[in-house]
Amino acid sequence: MKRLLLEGLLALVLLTGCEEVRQVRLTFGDEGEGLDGFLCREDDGSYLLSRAVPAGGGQVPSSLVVDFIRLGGLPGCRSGQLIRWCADHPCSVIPEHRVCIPAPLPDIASLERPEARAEIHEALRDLSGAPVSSEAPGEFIIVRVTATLEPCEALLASGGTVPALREEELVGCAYSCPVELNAIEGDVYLGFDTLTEQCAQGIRVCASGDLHWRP
Amino acid sequence: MREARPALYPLEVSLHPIRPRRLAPSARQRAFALSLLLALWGNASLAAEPTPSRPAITLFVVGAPEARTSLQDWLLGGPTGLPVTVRLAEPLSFTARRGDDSQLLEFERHLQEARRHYIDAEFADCLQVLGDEGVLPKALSQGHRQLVARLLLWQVACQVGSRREEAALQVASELGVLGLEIPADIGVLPPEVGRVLVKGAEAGAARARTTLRVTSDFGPAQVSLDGRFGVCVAPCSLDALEGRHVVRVDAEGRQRAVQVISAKGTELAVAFTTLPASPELAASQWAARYGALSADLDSAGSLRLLSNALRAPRLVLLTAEAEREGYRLRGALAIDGRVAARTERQARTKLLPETVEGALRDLLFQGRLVEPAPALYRRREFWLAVGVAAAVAGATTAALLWQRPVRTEVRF
Repeated sequence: MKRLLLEGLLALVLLTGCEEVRQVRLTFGDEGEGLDGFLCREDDGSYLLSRAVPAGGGQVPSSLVVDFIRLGGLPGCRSGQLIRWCADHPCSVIPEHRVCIPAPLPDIASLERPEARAEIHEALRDLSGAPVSSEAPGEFIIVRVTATLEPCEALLASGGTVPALREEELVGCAYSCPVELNAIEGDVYLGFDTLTEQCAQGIRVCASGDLHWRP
Repeated sequence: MREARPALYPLEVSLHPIRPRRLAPSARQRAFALSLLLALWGNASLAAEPTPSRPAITLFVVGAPEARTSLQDWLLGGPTGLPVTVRLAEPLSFTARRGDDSQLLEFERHLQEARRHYIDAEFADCLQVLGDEGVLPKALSQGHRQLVARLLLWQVACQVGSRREEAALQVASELGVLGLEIPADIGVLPPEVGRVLVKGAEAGAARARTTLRVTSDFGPAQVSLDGRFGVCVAPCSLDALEGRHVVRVDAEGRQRAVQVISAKGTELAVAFTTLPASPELAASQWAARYGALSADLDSAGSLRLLSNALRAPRLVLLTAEAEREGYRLRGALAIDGRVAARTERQARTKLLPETVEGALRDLLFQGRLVEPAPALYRRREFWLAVGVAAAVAGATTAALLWQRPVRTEVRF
C-alpha cells in the first residue's frame, strides 16, 4: 500500500512537471496570397520595394521585423475593425518578442504583380523554419511582419522599448487576425487587406506602433 | 490494481504535434487510480477498528404465557439485531421450605414424650426431654407461640412433680414475660401445677418494662418480637418486660436474623446485621411477596429479588398483559439489582417481537447499558468517508480540469 501511494505521488509530480511544446508556423499562403502588403505602389506607380534597388540591380537589402502586438481583447479581423479597436484600446508592440531577420528581397520593379508576388514568395521561402519565438505570449495578439530597409541592428528592442519603424524605409507589411497562439490549431496566416495597389498609406498604418490610423 | 498501473507512468510528451493532444483519457485513468488508492486506504483504516464485545442481559417474561412462547421463538430464531446477547430466563421454580413443618412435628413429638414421662412420674426424664435451651428461641422465632406455651407448661409440671417449686415458678414466669396464653393442656394437670403456673406467670407479667431500640443494617426490615410478626419496622422501639425475649428481623433479599436478648433496665439497643439472601431464598421471597401480586411485579424490591434469584446482574423484567388486539408491555431494566430504566409499549400480536426489540433497545439506551449510536457527524467513519470522498472528488476534478502547461514556438 505504501509503495502504491509513493508511486502515485511520483506519477503526479512527473505529470504536473511536464510541459507541452507546440509549434505554430507563420505563412503568407501557399501561393503567396498574403503578400499584397509587399506589392503596394507609390502614388507614382512604382513599388515601394523598388525604393532601394541597388544601382546595378540585384536584391533589395531589407529586414523583416516580426512583432507581436498586444490587443487587450479580441477585436474582429478586418483592418477597419482592428483600427477601430486600437483607437480606444492600448494596442502596442510587446518589446521582448520583437524579432528582426535580415531578408533580402528581389527587385520587382519591372515585374507585373503576379510575377512580383511569385518572386517575393520564392525569396521568403528561404525563411522557412526560421524561429520567431520560443515562447509565444499567452494572450490575444496579432502577428505583424514588416519589411523595412533599416538594418536589424537599429530595430531591436532595448531598455524595454522598441524603435519605431521609419515610414520612409517601409517596403511591405502583413499581419494576422487576432490570435491566441497557445490555443490555435493550424498555421497562422499573414495577409494585408487592400483593394488597390496604391496602398502605401495602408503600409504606414500597418507598421505603426499602435496601429492607429494615419491620414 | 493492475489495470490502473499504466496511469502511474509518466506520459509520453510529443514535441511535434501542431494540434494540442487531448489529455482526457489519461486524466480519467489518473483519477481512477487516485480514487482507488484513497478508497483502499480508507477501507484499511476502517478494518483496523476493534469490534466491541456485546454485553448480555437476562429477559424474564411474566404475564400472558403465549407472549412468552412467542418471544422464545423469536430469540431462538437467530440474532435479534440488538447490541446485546439476550438470555431468556425460565420461570422461577423453587421448592417450598419444609423445615418449619418438620421442626413443628419434632417439637410436638418432644411434648408427647414429656407428657408420657410425666404420666409415668419420670420427671427427670421429662425435664431432660424438654431441657433443650435452643428449642424455645427457635420455636418463638418461627412464631409457634402456642407450642412454646405448652413447652413451658410441661416444664412447670415436671418441675412441680420433682418438688422443685422455685424452678417451676421461674419457668412459669416466662409465660408472663413472653405474654403467652395459658395453654388448654392445663386442664389435664393437677391443680397444684395450675397454681404454680398462674402464680409464676403473674409474677413475670408484673416485671418492669424495658424499651428495646431495634435497628438493622438493611431496611426496611420487619421486626418480630417473641413470635409476634411485624410489630414494627426497623429502626423502631418496642416495650418488653424484663427477661428473655426473641427478636427477629426480615428484610427482602436478606437472610432472616434472630437474637435472643435479656431485657433489663430502662432501655436496650438491639442491632441486627443481616446477610445477603441466597438465590434460592431470594426466589422464595420473590414468590411469596410478588409472585401473586402483578401490580408490584416491576417494583424496585421485586426486581432486586429477581436479579438475585436469577443470578442476573442485568435483568429485564417484561410484563405482558393480554389485551383485545395484542399485549400491553411493561418493561423494567435492573442493573445489579437497581432499577435503571422503565418503558411501556402497546404491541399487536403479530408485531410482538419487533415491539419487544424496540422496548429492549429503549431500556438499554435509557439504562446506559449500551451507548446509543452517535450522531452521524460524530462518527470517525463518517469523517473518514467524507475525507475520502472529498479527496476523490478533488482528485477527479483536478484531473479532469487540469491542463498541462503549454509552450508555443512560432516560426516561419
